[in-house]
Amino acid sequence: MSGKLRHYLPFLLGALLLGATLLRALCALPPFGGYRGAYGPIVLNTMEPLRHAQQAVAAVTFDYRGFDTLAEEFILFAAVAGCLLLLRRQESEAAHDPVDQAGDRGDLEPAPAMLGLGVLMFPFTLLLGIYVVLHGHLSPGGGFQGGVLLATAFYYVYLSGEYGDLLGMSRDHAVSHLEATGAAGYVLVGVLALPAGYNYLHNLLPLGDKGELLSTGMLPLLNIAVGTEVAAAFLLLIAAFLRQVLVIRREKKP
Amino acid sequence: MSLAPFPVITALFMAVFLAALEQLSSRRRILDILSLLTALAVAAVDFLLLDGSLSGTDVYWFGDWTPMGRFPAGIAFVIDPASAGLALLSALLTVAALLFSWHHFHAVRTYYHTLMLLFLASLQGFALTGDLFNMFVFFELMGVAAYALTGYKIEESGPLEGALNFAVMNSVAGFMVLLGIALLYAETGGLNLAWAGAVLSGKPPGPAVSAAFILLAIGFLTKGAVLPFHFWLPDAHSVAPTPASVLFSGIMVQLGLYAVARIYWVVFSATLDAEALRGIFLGIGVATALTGGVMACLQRHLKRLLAYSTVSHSGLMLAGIALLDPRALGGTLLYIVGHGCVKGALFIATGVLVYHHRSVDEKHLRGRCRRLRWTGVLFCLAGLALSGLPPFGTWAGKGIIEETASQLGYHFLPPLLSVCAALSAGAVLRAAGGIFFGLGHPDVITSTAPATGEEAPETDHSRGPTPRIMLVPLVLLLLASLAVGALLRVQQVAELAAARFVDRTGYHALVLEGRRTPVHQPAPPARPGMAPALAATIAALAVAAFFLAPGPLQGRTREGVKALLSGPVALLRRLHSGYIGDYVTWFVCGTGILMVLAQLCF
Amino acid sequence: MTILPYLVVIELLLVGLYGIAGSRNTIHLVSCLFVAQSSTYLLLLSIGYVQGGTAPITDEIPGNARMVDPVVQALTLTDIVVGATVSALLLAFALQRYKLTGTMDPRREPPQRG
Repeated sequence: MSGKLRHYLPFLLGALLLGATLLRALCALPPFGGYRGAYGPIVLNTMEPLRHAQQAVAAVTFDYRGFDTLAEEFILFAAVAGCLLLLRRQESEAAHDPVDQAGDRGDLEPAPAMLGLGVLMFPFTLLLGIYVVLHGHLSPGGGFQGGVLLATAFYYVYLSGEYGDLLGMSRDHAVSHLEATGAAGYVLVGVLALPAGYNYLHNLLPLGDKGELLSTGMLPLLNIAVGTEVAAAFLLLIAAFLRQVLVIRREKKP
Repeated sequence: MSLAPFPVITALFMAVFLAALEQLSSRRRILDILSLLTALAVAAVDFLLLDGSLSGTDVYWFGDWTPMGRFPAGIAFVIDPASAGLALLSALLTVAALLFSWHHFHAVRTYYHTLMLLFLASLQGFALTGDLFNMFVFFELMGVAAYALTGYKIEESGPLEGALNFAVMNSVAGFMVLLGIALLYAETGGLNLAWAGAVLSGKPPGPAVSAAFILLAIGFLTKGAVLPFHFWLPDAHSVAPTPASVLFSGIMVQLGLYAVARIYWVVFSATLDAEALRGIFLGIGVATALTGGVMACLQRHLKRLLAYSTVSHSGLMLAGIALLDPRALGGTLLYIVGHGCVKGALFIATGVLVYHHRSVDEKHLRGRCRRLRWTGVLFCLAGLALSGLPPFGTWAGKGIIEETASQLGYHFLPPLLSVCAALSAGAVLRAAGGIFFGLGHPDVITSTAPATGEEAPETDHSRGPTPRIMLVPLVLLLLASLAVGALLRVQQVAELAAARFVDRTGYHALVLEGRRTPVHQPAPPARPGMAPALAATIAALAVAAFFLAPGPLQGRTREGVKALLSGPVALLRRLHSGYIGDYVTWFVCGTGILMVLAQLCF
Repeated sequence: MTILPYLVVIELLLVGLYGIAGSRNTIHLVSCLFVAQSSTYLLLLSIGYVQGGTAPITDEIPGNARMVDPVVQALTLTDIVVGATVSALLLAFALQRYKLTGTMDPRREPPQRG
């Protein structure tokens, strides 16, 4: 016990100091709920006249701070490339036919109810995802959230036990090309402004009427690009992890 | 049309493009050529940006969101000589890394090239941005690409372990940055560095402001591998593939320090107590430099040795920044460039050894590399340059830092920094002496080190002479370091960059109002003295000789020294335990103490 | 003045860090990292909170309504994406490491030391 305590003593000491000083700092801030910063009001006041936008978070994410979001999209892109790199087949392993060989659930068939639910939910989730992506500049949501929803539709396929189908979908290059298209799309939408003499990511598309589907200039395009990228990225991720369970086997004991 | 966005977007677009060329991944040449061309193009753009920034800092507002009233609602790149210069360095190091990996590196599909270009883009963005949150985003992009590259060799547990430690520590560092950003945002209402600085100007530092600074500093100092946040670095840099290590040790770590300096001067320099900060940072910097130097001497895993040397030099650079003086800052910038080239050359030379012998174990390689004459000569030269041999860039940088320290009254600093530089350079020279000339004997102090020298082949074939293309970046990097030190013009640019860097009101006026203030031209540069640098080089040779030479240091003397040192050495080794839990413990401990110091002193 | 959100921020951060410091399972470690990260979400959101404010969407809302700060919400969104992607990478490390060493315990396998 005392050994354990000694082991944790530096941590406890540091945590105590960190917690206390952090609390002191946070208490010195403007009181909770009384925030008076300049950034938010400026965005709220200018987004309608300048961009015909009604959704401030989307306006900040894709317009005012659109460059952040470009890098953010590429964080996801880098992580997917990294995961695919790491989850490749090791030299001591071989690829088998995609059958579930995990020992602890060899005979476990997904229940018919799961299959039925998956078939039922797949189209609706897909539709919801598309809706959220397309309306990201009008209502809560957007490319990231909608993209995750789109990928969720395919996770229903996984839950229904149709692992083979899911792997088949991601095996050819279509999904990774879709991912690359989404990522490149964001870069290229920003480039559009350069020949016209504007700065990168300048919102020069027609702004439309506030509240319309086609409004706020490039926001819908960027949402679609991000949505495509995110959906394809999460599909690639689950396929990569799934391949570890289904396809890749250890050949020989090291 | 301004060129400012191109370094980032070119690299990002080409990364995606290469990823989409998946079917072509068997045609290595195409990937090599495209990625090399991209890096070269980025370097060319950076050079133009640097050239343009000499006559006046350039501000580039993404989406044309120029400040409304005075408030910056958009994201700006601020291209001054310091940021453009570091961006140029990162692009050149990427070129060197890609040249080294040309066709001989075992690339898995397109991932290696994609990740290298993403990493390049993140380095560019991180150096050029003038926005705090944008800095964080590029910090994370840099991290994600770097973690994946570190874990590249999945057939061994070392890289996976190192990548895990790296990723966890840097994520925790990212939380600190975010907490700092949140505090600063609550205090100032903006994310732009210039805005935050303008709001804070002249205000007394409350607990929130000082905590914000320390949290941001801790976050970026973790990237900068400063005690006690450095533990992840040797684990990661020693196992990453050689080209990635070149970038990690050559520029990534230094960008962490650069971020701290940038944030301090633009945002906090009129608020915090400079004297207290100087004390804190000098203390940490010197401790880091010493620890890194000693640990480097204790390694026989060559890449781990170089990684600890990076820790040591990072401490030296922090000390240079901590003097909070424009001339010292100029020296530090010069040192970053000079050191980046030398360290890149050393990692590449180690990569050549791996190519031939599939080992980085000093003991295993001893005497086996006699026929690699060119590599040996270049390795020794790089080792000497690491100690600050004139006229390498390291000499100029270190000399300026030390002279400024003396002028400011820190007379203990120059000898201390020289000792630190000599320690890690001595370790490198010792390794070179053993490996290329068979000097010394197998039983050195380091023999207690674990045998982690085995390396999986990074490359396909390893027979025959060293491919020329591997030696090209090695020679080029050494020449670059030589040029940095020898050319007066480079020192001029560095001092101009530093003068612009510390010009807080000029920066604010330019970013917030677009108003150029007349640039204060620094006095013509004074070259640092040769004698102290030569002394450091001789000290490095003495350290190497202590390990290698027969004679007076043989026998009883050596045993005595060994017995004397065994206690502290064992303690140091135990501290670097390799367990992520311990690292986080020290991180929390260090953070708590620094936070308390900040609350008390600022 | 209420400090409850700030207390929860500190609690989440320290609990997450404590979990990492003492973790004996890599997946547990990744989860703890996420716990610590959620403290940053909470801090960002609570800083931008305005008493009685609505979501910053101006559709069918009277022009003078108070709204919470939209910027911190955008920052939190970015933060969440970062957290999710890093977790995916960490889990990939954990998986491959498990296959190599047969253990999830970060303290079991002798690492590189010294």
